[in-house]
Amino acid sequence: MPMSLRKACLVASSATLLLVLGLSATTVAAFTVSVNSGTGAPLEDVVVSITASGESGKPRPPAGKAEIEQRNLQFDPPLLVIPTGTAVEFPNRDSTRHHVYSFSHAKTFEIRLYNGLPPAPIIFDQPGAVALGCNIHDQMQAYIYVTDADDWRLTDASGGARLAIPESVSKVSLELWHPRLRGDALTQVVKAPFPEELSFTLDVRPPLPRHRESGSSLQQRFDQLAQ
Amino acid sequence: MKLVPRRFRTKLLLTMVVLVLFVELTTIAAVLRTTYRDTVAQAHARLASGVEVMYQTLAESRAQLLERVEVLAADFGFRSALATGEASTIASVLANQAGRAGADQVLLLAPDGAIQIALPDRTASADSGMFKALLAEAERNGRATVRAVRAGGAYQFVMVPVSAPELIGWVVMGFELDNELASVLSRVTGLEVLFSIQQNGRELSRVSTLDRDEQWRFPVDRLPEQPEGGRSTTTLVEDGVILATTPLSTPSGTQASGRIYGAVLLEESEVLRAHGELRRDLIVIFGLTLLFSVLAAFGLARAIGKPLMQLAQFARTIGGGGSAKAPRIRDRGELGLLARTLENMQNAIRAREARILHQSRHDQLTGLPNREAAESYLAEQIAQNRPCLVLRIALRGFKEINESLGYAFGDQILKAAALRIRAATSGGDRVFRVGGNEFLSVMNCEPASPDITALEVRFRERVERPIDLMESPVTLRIDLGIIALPEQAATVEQVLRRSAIALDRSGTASGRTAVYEAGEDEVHLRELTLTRDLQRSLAAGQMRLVFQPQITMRPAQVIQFEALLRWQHPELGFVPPDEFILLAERSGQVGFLTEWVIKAALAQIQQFRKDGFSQAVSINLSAHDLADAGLAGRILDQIAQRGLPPDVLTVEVTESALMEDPQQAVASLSALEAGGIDVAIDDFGTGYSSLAQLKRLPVGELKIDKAFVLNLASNHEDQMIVRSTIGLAHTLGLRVVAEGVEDLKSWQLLRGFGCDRGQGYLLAKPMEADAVIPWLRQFPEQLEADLNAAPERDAQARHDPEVK
Repeated sequence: MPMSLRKACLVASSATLLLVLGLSATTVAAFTVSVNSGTGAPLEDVVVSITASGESGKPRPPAGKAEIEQRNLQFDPPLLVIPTGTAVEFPNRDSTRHHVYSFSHAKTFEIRLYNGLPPAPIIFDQPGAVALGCNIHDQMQAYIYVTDADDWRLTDASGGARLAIPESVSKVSLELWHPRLRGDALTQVVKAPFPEELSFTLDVRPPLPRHRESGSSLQQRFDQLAQ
Repeated sequence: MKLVPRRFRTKLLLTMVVLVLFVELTTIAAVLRTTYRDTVAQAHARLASGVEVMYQTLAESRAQLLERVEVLAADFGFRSALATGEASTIASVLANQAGRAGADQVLLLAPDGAIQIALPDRTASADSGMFKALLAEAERNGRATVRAVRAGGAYQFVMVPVSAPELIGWVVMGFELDNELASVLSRVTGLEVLFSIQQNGRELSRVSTLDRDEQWRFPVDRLPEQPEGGRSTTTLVEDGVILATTPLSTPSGTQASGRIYGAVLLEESEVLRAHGELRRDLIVIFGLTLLFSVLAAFGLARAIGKPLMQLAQFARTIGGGGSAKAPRIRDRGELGLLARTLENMQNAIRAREARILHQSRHDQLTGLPNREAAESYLAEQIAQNRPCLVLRIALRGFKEINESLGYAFGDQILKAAALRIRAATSGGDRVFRVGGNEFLSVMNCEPASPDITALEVRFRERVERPIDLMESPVTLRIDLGIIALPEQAATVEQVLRRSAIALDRSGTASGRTAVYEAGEDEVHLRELTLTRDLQRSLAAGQMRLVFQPQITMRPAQVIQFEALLRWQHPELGFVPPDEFILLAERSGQVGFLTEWVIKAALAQIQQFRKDGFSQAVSINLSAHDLADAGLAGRILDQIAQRGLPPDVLTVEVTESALMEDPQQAVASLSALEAGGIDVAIDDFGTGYSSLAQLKRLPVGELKIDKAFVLNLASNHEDQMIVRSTIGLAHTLGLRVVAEGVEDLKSWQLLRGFGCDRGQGYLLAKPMEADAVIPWLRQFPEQLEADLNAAPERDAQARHDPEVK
């Protein structure tokens, strides 16, 4: 799963990067954010987003469409960062039905047992983290981070993310979020001149070992049959 | 006599019992000890495995609880309800899920571990230390469990995350270790189960399958501190319980969280019940074995003891001389050998007895049955009242033959005589050798009584034939004493004694044969009695002296007394002096009688003189006395000792006494005479003494025998003899005394013949010593005149046996 997650993030990041590069060619400054966990290890898949405060010379990324497909009893991608108001499709590419739900405050929804493409995409109209689950497949989990930020990156395997800042911007609000973060997202205002590198330490929970779902031999056999 | 077998039985019994007791008791002790140890060890093992099972069961149960709670926590409805964020909804859904899980407590914790809801109450929420630890574990492992004390109870807590799908909180459910669980554990382990809940070293409560009273009977709180994380087990045997305890609470390191101990236990009585049953069985077996061994010992003792008793009885019979058959003993071993040996012994004893009996009843020399055999044969004859003649045969002159020709020759004579006598008897007759030269022939004389004379003659003819012995012709001469049975003797003793009497007499009988005559035995017995009693008579005072006076004829004066010895036998009465003096002489006892007479006579003389009389006393001496050379000296000594003149004593001796040893008699009498003692010839006229001899004797007096005097008055021949004897005596210078003067006419005749003195019933009978003096005092008045006067007068006289 970590591989696919990373891949998914990479794709999303690349797309965003291309978009950002395409929209503003006048990027003059950039800095690198490196994040590690409380134990000192580099922390991957931290959503690092920046918002130029006050002087919005730069348009916010438009709310478009996105999708998280369900394939092989997994959400793909497992972590999706979208601007507020994005409509997300949840196409089911598995032979079994799925029951996608979220109890998160940013978006509470439920798509009851369905095959194929649900009738309508879900529009995430509030910023915040949304934890997605499938009610009949407990091991399926994904996060959608809905944000109003101008730009965002995910940290790579070494815990680093490089962010570009438009020339006109003198200070930015930096926000760090991670699915296992204890408490709220970390925000920090960074003023020009921007440092080359910013280091953060996030207090994250260790990943919870899954007992029932993945450990069950019955489940595994069922999975094999399903493929 | 039964003592020996009984003692044997007792010994055997005792040995068996002791042996059995020893073996049984040691075995039982060993078995009981081993089984006890085994039982206890088993109990301990059972408890140990019980602890293990309890532990495992609890672990299993915990895993199940975990699964159950996880399932409940994953329930979509539950998660939806939690997601609503409404406190009342959340509490009710928690209660609902707890009910489904069967939990006793349920808590909802925020992802950071803060207790948000606790059911059924929040009082224990202060115990956050425990939940922090739980949370740490749950974050690590995705779930957590703890067994701990909470709100005074023992609980199994299970903590699982609630994911929606991200972690939105923790659900903790507590399951009490209650009676139900204890019962389940009890069923699984087969033991009583108890949970002890302790806090701060104090026992808060107990949960047990035991009754409430029972479960507090024994201590649990004395347990040593269990090592952390250990699963050590301690066992305790106390108050009738065997208890294995192990800590159940999850080590938390803090005392405050309390401790839970799980114990499995067994009632000691229950554990030992099988042991007790075994013990009872063993005791029964022991009793039975003992009983059987006692019976076996009895049987064995009987099997050995009975033959032993039989053999003892057999041996006793043999010892008693009886005849018995050896007991049948079916034993090839020692007992059989003993029986056979005893039987052989009996036979040997019988043979030896027979030989000894034969020897004891037979004469070795002649081969004839001996005296003993004769006695038993005679006893038979008498018992059966069989008429027979008993011939007692003595070889005459056998002593001389032995002495002159030697004993070997004598033996040959005896053998020959035995053969002859045997030959002289007929088939049914029996011959015995009863003495050195004496034989006894018992001749049956049925049916007709035989002519004894003819028989005797025929017997002699056959026996008294000359025999040629060692080239010396010898003629056997036999004396025969014959007695006829059953008339003449009633006992064996009588037969032997009376035949001997007859044989004795045969020596003087004509034809050397004497047939026993009735009364001979009685005389013989009387003589034996008298001879035997003579010695005692003096000491017993049965002998006494009586005195008969001698009176001078011119004038009639009492001049002397003759002392006469009298014996009053206590059974036989008066014994005539002639009889017992003769017996005394034969048995050589006359000497001490004479000594006594001398002493008594002298004593009497002294009495006379004391009373003023001077009469002398005469005593009689026997031939035996005269042969005693010392007698004269002793008499004279005694007279001298008493200070008497010698002429107070006169001694009288008979003619026949003088004739036996004339030389010694003369010597003794001469000695007396020389000492001044007068000597008188007694019973003169009856013997064969010659006047020539009289002349040579130192004699001063003749006493004419009463045979010539008693009938003097009427017998002219006696008158002639007496007169001429008096004249002759006077011529020789001798004094004459007439004995047996019983009538006055004789007296007068004698006086006329010139006789010097008279003695007899006319004058006085012999009188007792104490009557002498009174008689002397009155004599002149009564007799003097008569005796001095001439007229004839008859005196009535009796013929008492009188005087020696």
